Amino acid sequence: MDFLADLLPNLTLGFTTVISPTNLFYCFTGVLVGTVIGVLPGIGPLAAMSMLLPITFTLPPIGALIMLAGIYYGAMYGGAITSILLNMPGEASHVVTCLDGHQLALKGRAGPSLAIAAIASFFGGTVGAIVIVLAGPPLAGMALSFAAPEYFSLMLMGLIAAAALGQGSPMKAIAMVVLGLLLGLVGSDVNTGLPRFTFGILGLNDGISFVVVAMGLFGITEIAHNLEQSDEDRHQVIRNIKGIWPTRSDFKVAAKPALRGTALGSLFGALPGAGATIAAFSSYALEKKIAKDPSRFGKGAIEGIAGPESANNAAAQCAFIPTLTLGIPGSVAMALVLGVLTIHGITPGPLIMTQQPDLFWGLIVSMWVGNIMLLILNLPMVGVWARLLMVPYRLLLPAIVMCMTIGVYSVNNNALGVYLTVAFGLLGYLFVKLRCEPAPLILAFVLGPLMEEHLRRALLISRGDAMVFVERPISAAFLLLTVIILVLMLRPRRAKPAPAET
Amino acid sequence: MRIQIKNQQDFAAGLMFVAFGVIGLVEASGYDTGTALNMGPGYFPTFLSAILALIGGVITLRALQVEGERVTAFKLRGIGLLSLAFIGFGLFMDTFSLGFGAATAVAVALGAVAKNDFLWREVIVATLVLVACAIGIFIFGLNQPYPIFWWN
Repeated sequence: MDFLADLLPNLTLGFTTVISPTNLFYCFTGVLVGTVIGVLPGIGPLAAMSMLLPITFTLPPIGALIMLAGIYYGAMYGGAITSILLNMPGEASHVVTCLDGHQLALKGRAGPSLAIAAIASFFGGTVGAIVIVLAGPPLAGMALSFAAPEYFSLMLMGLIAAAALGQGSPMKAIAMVVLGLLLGLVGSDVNTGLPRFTFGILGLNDGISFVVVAMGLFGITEIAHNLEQSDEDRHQVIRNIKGIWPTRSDFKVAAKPALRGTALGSLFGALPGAGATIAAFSSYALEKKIAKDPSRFGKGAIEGIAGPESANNAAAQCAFIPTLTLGIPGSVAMALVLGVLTIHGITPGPLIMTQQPDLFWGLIVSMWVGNIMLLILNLPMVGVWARLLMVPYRLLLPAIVMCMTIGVYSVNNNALGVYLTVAFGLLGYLFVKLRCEPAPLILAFVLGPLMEEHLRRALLISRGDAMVFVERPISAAFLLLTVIILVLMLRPRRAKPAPAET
Repeated sequence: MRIQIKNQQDFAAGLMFVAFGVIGLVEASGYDTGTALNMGPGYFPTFLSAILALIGGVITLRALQVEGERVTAFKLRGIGLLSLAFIGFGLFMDTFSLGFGAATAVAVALGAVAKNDFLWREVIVATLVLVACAIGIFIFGLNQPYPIFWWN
């Protein structure tokens, strides 16, 4: 446990990195923009991150990372506000927050439930950051012994798990993984320079930028979905916000669920696929199960906000663990973080901690600082955010389109990226209509080139013997887990329709 | 025997995956696959394309047996105008070289009318304000190297 001895100097390094005025500014801008965008109905954290990616390219790597992380968890805070006031979850991990949060808002207790959500989120987020500090270095130390076969098997397991844990049909999710891997291969082959899947388009030789894929699949698709909805009357609930401070008994009721939620969030956070969503759902289920009077849930129970909100924020922070230490993103948001690191020429993986300690520790400390900023932003200013909800979508839309078009154009400074974004947007629209989840696709898209690289290297070392993947114990363990996940995910579906009929 | 599609969504999705797999196989057939020891550029793509076509086939066939949902109607107005906003921006910037200001104006205006409850007055005001903001932020703030007008 010698990493504990290094902990103090490392954290000091992190603090000195973050306390610089520019990094504080990036952190503040990130959480502020994230909150604003998270509050605006119909723009979830993923759409927010993909829209603002091009802006982070102009910053230094540490600033870009701090700001992007800030946007991410800022949007998580903001999303809770929209869920409670409008019953509109920005993304899956807020679905359960709506259940009791919106009921409380209808009863005129919007203020206290927003405050509880913010405080629970803060608690979960802060503990999540501590978990990264404790779990990150040992995991990275373990990963240092990984070679090509281990990485290949680990990535395979991550992708299959992401497909299994997501929503919807597992078969389709696996197909999306394979399609994502194929799309990731577009461009010149690393070893021979041969252009693959470019269909004669010169601009594709460098591959498809992940900004284009993310912006098309999440940005355009989400807007298209919102265009099909109509603005509802939102004004009544928002006018009802009076006092925001929760009563003493609210705190008493919320304390233990927040603790349990944080524990679940830290546990599930690192899971690939839908860590934050699973954490929030299981926290809600747990609170309902152990409650003295479960019938209160769904009608406005404070526990139903405190548990899931602390869980999804703890999970959102812990999701950084596999991304930073192994270079394997567990969620789409983390795939975007990974993409930004790669664009800045940083290879994510166990070496980050030793080669770029200021980046790693700076990011973690920035999470604490950012969570404190969010608490300050959210408690006294919650009325301001609520008023943002009154802006009709037709006024937001042109501004969103402006940011997106200029953003994708600026990635390569040519129109090809803009056209490709449209293509991915249309493809994403088709995916929605056919109920194909895009999350596994984009994870695979980011990991595709790495997987091929590791596969080639592994087989080169073993002289073409595929047994290398099962002969090495760690790799074999990953593969065994992959098989178990595959069996579990494909089996129960067949049995389901039968009992439903009887 | 009449073939009945019981799960429209999965049937279409399966066919889509088969199509991508076949495109991949055809395109990758021109690449050298090499051997497992010294893998060529075609090895991984061919393997993946074949798997994709196979999974797609299974999904399609299962859609004939297991009941599922219908595909809901495509509402093309919104996404169509949104796509045009992007394409317009690309054309104005590169093909027609009309400058950053005009390209942003086209994108913003087309994006604004994509929502069907738009008001003309708001669209005009939003376009003017946002073009000014975009020039301020991206050209003067972030120093992007784009000509503002077609004459510079």
